[in-house]
Amino acid sequence: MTRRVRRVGLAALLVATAGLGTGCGDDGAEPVNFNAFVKAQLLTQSETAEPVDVNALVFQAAPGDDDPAAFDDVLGVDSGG
Amino acid sequence: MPSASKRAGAPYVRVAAGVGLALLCAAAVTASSHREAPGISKTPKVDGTDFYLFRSYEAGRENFVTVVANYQPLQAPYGGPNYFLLDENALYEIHLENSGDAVEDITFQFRFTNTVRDLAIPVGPTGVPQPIALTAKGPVTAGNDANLNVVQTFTVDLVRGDRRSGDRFAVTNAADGSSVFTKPYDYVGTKTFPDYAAYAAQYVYDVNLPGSAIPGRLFVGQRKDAFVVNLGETFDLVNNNPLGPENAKPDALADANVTSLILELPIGFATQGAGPVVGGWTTASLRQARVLNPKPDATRPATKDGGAWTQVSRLANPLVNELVVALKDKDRFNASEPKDDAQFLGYVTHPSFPAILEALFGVAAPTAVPRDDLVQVFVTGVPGLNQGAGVGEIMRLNTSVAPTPVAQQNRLGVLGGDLAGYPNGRRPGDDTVDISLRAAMGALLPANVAPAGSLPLTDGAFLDASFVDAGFPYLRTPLPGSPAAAPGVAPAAAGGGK
Repeated sequence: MTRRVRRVGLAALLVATAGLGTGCGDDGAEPVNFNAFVKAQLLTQSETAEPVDVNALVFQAAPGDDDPAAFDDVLGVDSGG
Repeated sequence: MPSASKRAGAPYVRVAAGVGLALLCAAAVTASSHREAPGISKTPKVDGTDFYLFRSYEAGRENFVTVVANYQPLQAPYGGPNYFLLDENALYEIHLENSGDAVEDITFQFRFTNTVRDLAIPVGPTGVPQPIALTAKGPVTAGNDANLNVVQTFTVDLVRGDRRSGDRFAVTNAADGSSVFTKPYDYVGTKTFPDYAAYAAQYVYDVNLPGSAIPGRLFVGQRKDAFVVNLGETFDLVNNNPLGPENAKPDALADANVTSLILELPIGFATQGAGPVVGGWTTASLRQARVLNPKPDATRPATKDGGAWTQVSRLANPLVNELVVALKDKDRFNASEPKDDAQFLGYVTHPSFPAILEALFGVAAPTAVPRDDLVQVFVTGVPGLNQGAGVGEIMRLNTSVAPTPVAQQNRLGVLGGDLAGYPNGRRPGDDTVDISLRAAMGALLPANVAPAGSLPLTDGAFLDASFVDAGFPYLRTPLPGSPAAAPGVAPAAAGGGK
């Protein structure tokens, strides 16, 4: 794993976790940044982890999420290539 | 900020290059039988189709049990050029239970790796090597697969205790100690594989089982689907006469192959000395997230998967998720574990299928509800036969019942007086469709509460032990993808059967 990917993964995990921790709505739904959540998932290759219950999560976008290269870092492809 | 649905509709996400995400819901899913649930029909490589558990009836192997987990339904033999490799990004599991709590005590985990050899062939006057587009560049035989362009290998781990957190040990080849096994390529056709049976047979392994002084046997590969069913008419509001002849209808799977994970284990290993009854089931899991790669290449695959293993398929007894569990809960069942099956109990105690048969044909459904007889068959085990593996929908085999020689096996299993057959485990030759029809209408109940219980109900598609082999791996050589049958002529059978 490259250092860059590791940094992105950590940031993604922090963002996703921050979403979980701050944003319960009136209906109990929890806003979570979609891309950050997915990136955190992709960096998990554990044999022992249990799945995350996504039923109570509401995925939200953040500025830049629509960038076609938004996942290039975790996919290992060259941005703009 | 856009809603989740709006986010999902963003152009980049909607287009392939965008992120096609398969977030697998953590709170739902598992599969049984062929394409039986909405969720699993989207991912056929991890769709468990049948599960068998029986005392080996091959001569000289009576002290073993055989476990078969079939995946990838409805394989057309000609389905090239990629055929039916198992999913590299999936975890296939066979679970055994012997402590009476419906929780796995032993799990076998199968993981697969595909290797593309990128074989080349000289092109043009100068013989420029050009990588080929197909599976093989010449015939493949036992002992010589140099012409094969794709090789699928796999490992098998044995996990004691919890399937995720338990202690993990490698199953190894008894011949050389290797922990990497080869899965024979699918039966492309008779020109590529002049003797497919011999080619596949070299991948039957004697294996060291951690904790067992006695080796087992292992085979993973394509087989002729042993399940027999009048599929189309059954799903078309049972568009046939369930009181007609037992062999008057075609088998919808007669021209279909399947991929089998097959283990043969010493009885003492399977039961771990905890009593004669062993429970079993199979599951398949995927990583919770999957992102489509907009720029796949030879080293970076078309998807990237990550997250916890998330169960998407579950199977023990045949037809349970298909005909017992309500449509809305089939994905939920596939994601669940046997220990939590109380949530589905109402579908067993008050089944809808007998009522449908009564409405369609006037054959009276049993009046005895709750259906304790079906609870015993599917959830608790039958008293005096195979109780003792906990409460949950698992396959139960009482290993103290001697195997019935193949020539004496009754296709109706216990209903036919053959205690070594379904629902005491399941053999490939047990006609579980006819058995299930009769059990659903009350074959195990007194006549005063099940007036149709003694009727010879059938789907019309006949199955018995003559449809499979008398020894390991029991399921027959798959049907070849070539040569093509003449118009109007059924594909050549792999042998035996009717």
